[in-house]
Amino acid sequence: MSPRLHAFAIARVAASSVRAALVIAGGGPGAGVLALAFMAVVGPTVASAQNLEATTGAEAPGCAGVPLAASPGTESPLVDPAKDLRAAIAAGSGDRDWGEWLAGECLACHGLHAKAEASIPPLATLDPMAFASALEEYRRHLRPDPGMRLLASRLAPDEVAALAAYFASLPGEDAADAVPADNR
Amino acid sequence: MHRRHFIGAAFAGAALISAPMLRAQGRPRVVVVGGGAGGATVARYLAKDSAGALDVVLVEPNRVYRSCFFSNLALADLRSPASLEHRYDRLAADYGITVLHDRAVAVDRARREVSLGAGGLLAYDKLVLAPGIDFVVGSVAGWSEADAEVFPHAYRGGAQVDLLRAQLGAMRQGGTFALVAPPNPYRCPPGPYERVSMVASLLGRINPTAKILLLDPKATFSKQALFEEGWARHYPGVVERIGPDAGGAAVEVRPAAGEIVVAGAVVRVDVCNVIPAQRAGVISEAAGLTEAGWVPVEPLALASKADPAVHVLGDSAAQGDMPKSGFSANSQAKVVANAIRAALTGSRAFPPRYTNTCWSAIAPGDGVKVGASYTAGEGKIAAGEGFISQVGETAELRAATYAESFAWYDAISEDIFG
Ligand SMILES: Cc1cc2nc3c(=O)[nH]c(=O)nc-3n(C[C@H](O)[C@H](O)[C@H](O)COP(=O)(O)OP(=O)(O)OC[C@H]3O[C@@H](n4cnc5c(N)ncnc54)[C@H](O)[C@@H]3O)c2cc1C
Repeated sequence: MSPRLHAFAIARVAASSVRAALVIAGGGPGAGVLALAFMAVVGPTVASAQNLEATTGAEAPGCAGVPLAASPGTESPLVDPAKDLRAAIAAGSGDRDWGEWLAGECLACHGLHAKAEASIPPLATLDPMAFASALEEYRRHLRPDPGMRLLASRLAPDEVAALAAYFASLPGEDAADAVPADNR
Repeated sequence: MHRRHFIGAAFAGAALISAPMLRAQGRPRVVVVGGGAGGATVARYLAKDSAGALDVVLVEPNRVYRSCFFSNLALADLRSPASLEHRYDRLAADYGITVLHDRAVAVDRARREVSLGAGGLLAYDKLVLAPGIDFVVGSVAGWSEADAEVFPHAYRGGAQVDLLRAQLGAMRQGGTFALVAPPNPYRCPPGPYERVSMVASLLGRINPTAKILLLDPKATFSKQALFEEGWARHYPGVVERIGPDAGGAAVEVRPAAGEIVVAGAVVRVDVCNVIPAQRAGVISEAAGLTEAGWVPVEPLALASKADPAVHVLGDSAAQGDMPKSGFSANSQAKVVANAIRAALTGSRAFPPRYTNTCWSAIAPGDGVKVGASYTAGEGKIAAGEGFISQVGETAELRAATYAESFAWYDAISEDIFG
């Protein structure tokens, strides 16, 4: 198994085990233990947000202000998503309902539908493959926005595929030719 | 997979024999108290995702929600007050939520019933409390809520913000605006400092010789380096901050006389904004769920540590590391809705994901932000990685961050109110 596929498989196992842990959480005393076991596998991310304020002014994680690598309106993605992810998106095999759940996190900033205010692109216009490319660019720090870098770094490939399946299921507004306009 | 099905079935079986469920006419009922950033989001996601399987009742006294988020921008005329208003019509019409414009006054947790101000009783299978904040009585010497008509807090949106804006507009030329900042924890950690920025921006336009006195009980504050850089750049010499070492933690106010007393000295003030210490909305205390003013909750789905049938989210919750913000309340609400729906209908439960980003306006076109992801940790919601704007950023980046906050406001409003 390739390292990438291996990581993919681990993410899948971890995600389904926490799902099991959560269902138990409602019902039994073992819930906490199982949930903690999940934490040990996937782990809370390390750099503490609590110490962030102290770093203001010095070098801080996240690097707001990094110059744009992709200029606004760039049509072709700088990087493609991994091959297996591309295949999953093309086949539409992502877990749509999981994607809908994950999209809750996106909706706090990205509306579903186009609004006059365009500085954050609406979700219903995202082309699934372009969306996955954009996420990969954030993950590799080829796009500067620190919030999107953080979110992208937290999404496993099957979660990206799930999101893509959900976006693909939305009644789009010109979804076919839209790319994420936001290059920040 | 097998394991999940098995457990899911056992759980659904357990739910079936619970008595209040039968009372609620066959459909499990979720009562949500408070129609703000947290409560309206929970109600909307519960109703949307359960497609009629749940009876969702939202109890909120006001017919119009006037958001605190962006209310500082309204003080500087960068947003109209009307643009901060949200109604509940769509939640009722498009999502089938029963919206009761009433106030919850008591909770009988043993009987699973909420009493309403108008006299009704509401039975619930799950209760969600999202009542925001109330103030700690006596936390600022000389100030009580009755004085808010003279020295406004402007920290619960709406009329109080209008009043503060009117007072600033009528302030004598060269007058002094004082802001008494709250101790931790309180809603919107950068809020008082964004307010200082926005008031400075307004006064720079209409009252350029006015001064701002910031009285602060905290030694340090949120985004401090960014605000101080911005004040020096945009409003040089206007803002004077008096920290705890110089008397900022023991301010006495005299609303009738238009004075404050700092470190023994009487200071005449023209407009005074008192933001007192805060606690969970009082209904949380009436429900017997508070400890030291806030409601301790489990990190997986914000169930009260004292009663798993009651979820408490948003500002009222003592959940751990998330700041008390509209963004946090909205993020928590989706986790709560997913967990409640799974518990009551057997639908899929997904692992919790929490995030927050707080934008602040320092001047028109100059915005900064701080954000982080959070996870369900041991006994609390724990901070993960984060990011924050930097001092010395380009004007172009600051303008982009500022514009982004307006897009955020539109998006989150739609996510909260439909
Ligand atoms: C000046 C200022 C600026 C801010 N800026 C931002 C920002 O830029 N971004 C951000 O994310 N957050 C911001 N916030 C914070 C944000 O407003 C709060 O954190 C958020 O509103 C909390 O949501 P909540 O649901 O807990 O409470 P609220 O939104 O306050 O909602 C509580 C609701 O409960 C109702 N209620 C209370 N008691 C009862 C009862 N007994 N029965 C029925 N209903 C009841 C109230 O009427 C109210 O509608 C700001 C706050 C302030 C003050």
